[in-house]
Amino acid sequence: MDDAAEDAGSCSLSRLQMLSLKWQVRVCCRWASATMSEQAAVVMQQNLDRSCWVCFATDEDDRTAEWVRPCRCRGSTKWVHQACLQRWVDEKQRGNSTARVACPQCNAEYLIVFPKLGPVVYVLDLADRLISKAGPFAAAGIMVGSIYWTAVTYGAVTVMQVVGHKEGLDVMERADPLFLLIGLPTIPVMLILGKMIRWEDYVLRLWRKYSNKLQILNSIFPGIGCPVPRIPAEASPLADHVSATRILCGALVFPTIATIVGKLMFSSVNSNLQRTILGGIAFVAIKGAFKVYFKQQQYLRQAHRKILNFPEQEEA
Amino acid sequence: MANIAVQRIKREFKEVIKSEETIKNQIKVELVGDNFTELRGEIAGPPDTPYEGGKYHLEIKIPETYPFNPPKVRFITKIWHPNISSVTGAICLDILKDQWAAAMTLRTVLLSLQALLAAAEPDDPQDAVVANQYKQNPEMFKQTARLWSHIYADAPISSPDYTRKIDKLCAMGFDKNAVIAALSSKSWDVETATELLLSN
Repeated sequence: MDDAAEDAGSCSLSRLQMLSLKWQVRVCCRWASATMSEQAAVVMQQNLDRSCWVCFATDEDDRTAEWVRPCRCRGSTKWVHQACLQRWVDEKQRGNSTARVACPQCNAEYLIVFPKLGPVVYVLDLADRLISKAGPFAAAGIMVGSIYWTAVTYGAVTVMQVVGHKEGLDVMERADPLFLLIGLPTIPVMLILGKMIRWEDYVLRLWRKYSNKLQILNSIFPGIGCPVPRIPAEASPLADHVSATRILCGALVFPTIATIVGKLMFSSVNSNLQRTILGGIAFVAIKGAFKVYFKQQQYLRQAHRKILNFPEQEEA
Repeated sequence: MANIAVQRIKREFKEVIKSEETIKNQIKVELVGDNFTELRGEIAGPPDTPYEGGKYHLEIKIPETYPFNPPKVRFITKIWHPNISSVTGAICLDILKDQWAAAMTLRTVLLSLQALLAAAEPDDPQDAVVANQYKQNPEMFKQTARLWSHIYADAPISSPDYTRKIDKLCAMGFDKNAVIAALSSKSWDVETATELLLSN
């Protein structure tokens, strides 16, 4: 066994190597195909009597084929046809033409070289690689840009809606463009952040805490002051994504609702801005009151629920 | 089939026929049909193992893309071994999967399988029940493997105790192969094996 054979199969044939020591079977292909004395003869005249470890053809079978010895292996796995090894490498790379391939016996990595690139092809290759690398970043940039411009547009529309069409345009024309580019997109952001404040919950909690002291409220909302038989488990409000989409839609539609409510309830106010603000406040207050009432009723229903006995069946 | 595959199998076939191991009756190959796509292999159970004296038949199918992909090998003879399915004969051996190298031949594959019989790898099992028994109760594994060799692979040594249990259940009208599989997987406990047979 020569030196190359010692480190051969350190990965692929490890099990076999272990077995062969234990069992005296030389299963490794390198020296398996010939007895030791034959092997020596093969090594002596290997350049005259080559055989390909892929197709097993010898010099005699094909005199024109191109030969290569791509790794540390000696003996019967030293030589291989260029074409056969190309196919083996293709099989190992599975379409990834830059993957490294090593000899399955001696683990030596094959030295694969490509023909030199011409200047035009070099430039094209460089450009191709740059573009494919830049792709994800460009896509991310376009996404962010789109979201930003959507936010700017939404801000502008909201300003015109709240202040009035003409006045809104006037205000924006007079304002510093930089201020607009930063200020307009913050409008939807602020609306969403504002919507995320769940002030009704705090009111409800305070209410439950101090309800005994507020006797008048008990007459309006019956049941609030009563002692509850059990505390129901609370569902976390932001957990499901349904409520996330609800927050988004609610926040973005809020200026429209505020305008409509303002027009319906405060038609006597002349200023568009004041009317919309009043409408917004009124809407938030009324909706909050309903929400508090609804939540409290649900809470009480949960608290008063009962589990029944299993109906006993009469024995036949 | 591709020319290269046929050429190679012809050479490998000759190599096996002429090999020392065939002369010593350790390995054997035969053609199935005449187009070299399917062969029948045979290996002798290695000495000092429960498989000693047994003859194991293998189904060898040569893929179109041979030698770039490994041959598909399966045990036809039923065998009790952690890396071989006791039901289908499917083999778990790295060189028949991702560690295949084109320089390997029918001869080295057969010798590797013979070596696998001599040194099981219970931590990389094909048959979990067998592997479990191999680890938990090595003595029972040996006895069971020997019994399977005797019944299915013509090995000389048997186990009278286990044979008695098999006969007892066969007398109840169950199929012999099913009885052997049930008793082997249930640690030769007649009661649980009967339950398993009845539930099938």
